Amino acid sequence: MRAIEREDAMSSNPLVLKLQHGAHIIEEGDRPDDVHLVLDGFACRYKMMPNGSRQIMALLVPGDFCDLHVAILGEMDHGIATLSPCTMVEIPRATILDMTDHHPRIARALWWASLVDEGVLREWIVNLGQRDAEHRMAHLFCELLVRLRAVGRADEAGYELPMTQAELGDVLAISNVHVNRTLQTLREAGLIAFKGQRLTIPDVERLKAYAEFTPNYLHLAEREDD
Amino acid sequence: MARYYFDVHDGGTHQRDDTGTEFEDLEAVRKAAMRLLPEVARQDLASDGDRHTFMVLVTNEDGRPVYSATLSYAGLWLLR
Repeated sequence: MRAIEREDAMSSNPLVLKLQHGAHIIEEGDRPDDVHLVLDGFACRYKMMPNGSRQIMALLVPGDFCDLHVAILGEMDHGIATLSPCTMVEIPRATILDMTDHHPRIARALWWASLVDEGVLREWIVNLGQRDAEHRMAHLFCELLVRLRAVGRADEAGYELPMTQAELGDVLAISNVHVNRTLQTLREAGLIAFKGQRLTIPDVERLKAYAEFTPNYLHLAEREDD
Repeated sequence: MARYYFDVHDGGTHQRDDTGTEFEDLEAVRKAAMRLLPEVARQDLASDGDRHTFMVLVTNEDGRPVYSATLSYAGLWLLR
């Protein structure tokens, strides 16, 4: 984020929230007045089905806005919950509108963030629709490595992944038991290793090749002609 | 909550579950097996052949079998 945006956000005294794992920040149908930005931990966008199952449509990591929609759209069409202990900052909707009205560069940065969210969503649709469980999971692990490295929360070969197997299942649309089997398969193939909550990727290029992962949809580099 | 192990047999191959998964009750175990077998079949069926039997054997923490289920695929050429 750019310095000017940080200053503006600071000047309006944003509220910092410390949240437990499993906290519901916003539920479907809410009309919140604040926009949440993740400073630490993992959160997700989700929808609950009438039968009690849950689909997670996005993972939100430090630096991600949870609900930029709130500033412009009315009612939330999905919920936001934490997947680990989380620190978030609450920015009043009015502050976001004021910043975007007066700072075109910030408006463009927020627009960019929304476009990248869409890019990730497109890739997730492909992932869920076209890849089997093992490649799907491998792809997610590659994506998280790149995203977490971009915000300094991963080193070259791994990161803390605080999610439970059930939560991974809700992301990947596979059952808890199948998550377990899939993790075992990837582990036995030497593609990943777990030590507690830390995921280690012994050979990143090998995992990327296996998952057919290309980071282009994350749009981490700006356009060069701007 | 108790831990259950889901070993999957797919024709010649056998995948042992070393870590297990926790469930509230036996009904949840049955539901999990029901959801698991189609997932395994979807993944492994494409490999080859016209006959496949997918079987899951669920054991509890004492290693005692508590539930088993089988899903079969039988393909037959009628014109070739």
